[in-house]
Amino acid sequence: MFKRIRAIITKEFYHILRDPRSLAIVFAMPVMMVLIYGHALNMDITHIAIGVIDYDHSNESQAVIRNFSGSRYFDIVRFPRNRDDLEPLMRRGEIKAAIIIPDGFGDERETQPVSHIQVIVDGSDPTFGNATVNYVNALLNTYSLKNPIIAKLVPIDLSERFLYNPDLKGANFIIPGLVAVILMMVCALLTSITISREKETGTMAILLVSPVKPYEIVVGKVIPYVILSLLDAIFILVFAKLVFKIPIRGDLELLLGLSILYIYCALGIGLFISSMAPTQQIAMMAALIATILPSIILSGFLFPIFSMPAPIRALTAIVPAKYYMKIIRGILLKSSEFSTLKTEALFLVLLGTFFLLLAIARFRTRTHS
Amino acid sequence: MKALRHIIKKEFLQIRRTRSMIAITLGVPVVQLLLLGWAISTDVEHVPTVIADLDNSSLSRGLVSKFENSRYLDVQFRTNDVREVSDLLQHGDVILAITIQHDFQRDLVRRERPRILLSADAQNTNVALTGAGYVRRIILSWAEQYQAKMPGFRPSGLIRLNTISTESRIWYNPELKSVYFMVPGIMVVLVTVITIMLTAISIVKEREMGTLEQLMVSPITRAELILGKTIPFAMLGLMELVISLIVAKAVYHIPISGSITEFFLMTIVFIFSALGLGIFVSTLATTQQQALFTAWFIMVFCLLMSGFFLPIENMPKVWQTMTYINPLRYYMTIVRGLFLKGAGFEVLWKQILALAVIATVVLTGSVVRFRKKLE
Repeated sequence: MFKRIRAIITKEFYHILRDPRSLAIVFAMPVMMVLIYGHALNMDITHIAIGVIDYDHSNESQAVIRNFSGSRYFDIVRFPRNRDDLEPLMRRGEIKAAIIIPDGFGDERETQPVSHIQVIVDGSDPTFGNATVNYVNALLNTYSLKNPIIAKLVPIDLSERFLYNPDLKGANFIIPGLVAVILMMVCALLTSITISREKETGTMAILLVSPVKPYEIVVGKVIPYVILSLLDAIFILVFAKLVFKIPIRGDLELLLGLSILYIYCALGIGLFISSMAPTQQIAMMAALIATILPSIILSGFLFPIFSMPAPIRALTAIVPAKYYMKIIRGILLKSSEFSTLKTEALFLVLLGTFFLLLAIARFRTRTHS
Repeated sequence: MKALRHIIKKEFLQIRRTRSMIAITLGVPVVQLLLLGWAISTDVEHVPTVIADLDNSSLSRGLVSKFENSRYLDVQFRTNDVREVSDLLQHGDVILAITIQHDFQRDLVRRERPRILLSADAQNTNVALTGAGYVRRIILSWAEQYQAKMPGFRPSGLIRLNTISTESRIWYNPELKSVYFMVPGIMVVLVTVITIMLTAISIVKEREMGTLEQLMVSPITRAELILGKTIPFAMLGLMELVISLIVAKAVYHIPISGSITEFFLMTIVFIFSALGLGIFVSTLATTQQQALFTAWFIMVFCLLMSGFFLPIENMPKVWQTMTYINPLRYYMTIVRGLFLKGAGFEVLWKQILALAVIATVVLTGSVVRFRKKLE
């Protein structure tokens, strides 16, 4: 048995090394994707374009405006003369928010306990809108509290700690997630190629009439890709560390070990899909669509899972990327240990084995039909 | 002209023969629109939280109930064990951990500023910052209420002396519902998938089957051939759009502030630019596999760089410049602007012009390449 499996493995390696397309997918594509998307996708919201209308023209109003212009979160790009000018600016998207300082603000500040400023925010992009409201409030809050007497009047001392990503770098969140997505993509593409290559060249029929058993074919095909994908994972991680300075706080060996489980799972799903599809084209499209979109959207890559409605949360249980997302972010950022991640590891093994068995079953029916 | 009509008819016949293609074109995108529109939300609500009230006094319990009643926080865990708090954070079961110290009530009564510790899982910076903002607001509002009840309190404003209060108004999407932002984006995605991928595949399929050569030796011109191939898919894409629009309105109640006619006109321009890209891809590929791969990569690239997932303004300048040749970027602006801001031709003409330019360039380039490839 092992001799036959080894034969299949060797054959598969020859196929891969002789096919430039496969090599490109395995090596060039992931690195390119990390570089491109890691660089371009940026969650940190800064330099929000705002407009400021100052009806007051007092020292106080100027002081407030200086605070905004000095903050890296805001770029004052327009000074509209009045409220009517705002509508076209907002609609064109030239400004995302407007600060309106009413006439009499300076006097109010000196005589009244509370003074008022009006803020108008473009809510069409809620993430931006949310962040803008938050930042404006935080900025004005800090400005108010600069007076130590005032600060003491707030009766509670709220101490905030930001864990696992204290510098609030969006890259630390996105890049590990990107690794998960890329690995899934690579595995899906590779499996779709391997099956269709056999069918294209007609060697599939030859394989099926040889003494090699169905499960041996499947196992023999999966192993080389596990090895290659693991190499890929290492490549990407090295790039992530060197170029984006992603921390590696946990145990790297644990990460690689669990990555093998993820790859195993991804390849199993890819193989299953390829074995199900009647034609190569559908195989490829199905493999891509069924794996990439869920990996991006349902895995917690960009959108938090706790925000999703319950049925969709339930659906995420069969998305392998979701478990690996926890694993890779856990190990890189939280220095998680195996005990914390064992449920995730278990799910990956179960899912992978399930689909692998299904793929083998499909092969068996082919040979016997 | 007559030849054109025949080609179009032939295309439709071929499409009709492939059942799976019909399912993919019409069924799958609608399902995806429903699923994705439902799943994707950047609203930060119901943030999983753990509260450790180490004081358990009447004052601390009052504060805790304010946290529990907030719809922004989902207090899933209550504990007295500090270790359990860090376990929950470490395991990712909670994003926020609020710890009220042991002497909270005593210190508060003595005006000694008791400390509340907030630990936030900052991997997703947006969620962490917004969540911390919620906690801060709740604490401040509770503190105000507490101080108002204190004996000897002068309502003339001991609390917020010299603070600046903001009156915020949010335009276009007052509740900041991310659905209004996401669903139009998803519609764009679906229309793009249909047009680019199916066009590329269909052309390459002809080449593979050898029927392309037969078409070449027939009396139709290359321009007619290309147009004849693209128009059916353009119509399919439009049909897809109508279905998506109906779903968007019916299920998600997306407001449509702008003019629907203008929307359709602008979409037609976009579809031609997307189609042009599809055809261009097909001139690069020799097998259907290659066509699929290339189309897929270009599409994913355009998608990620369109402002759908993350804003273009966030990207480094280099990449921002690159997005200028991405038709999806313009169409995303159009869809969102039209739906939410009621923007019309006068605001969006720049985008439409860009799309028209892209469409012309790509389609002409495709015709030229076609000629070269087959000679």
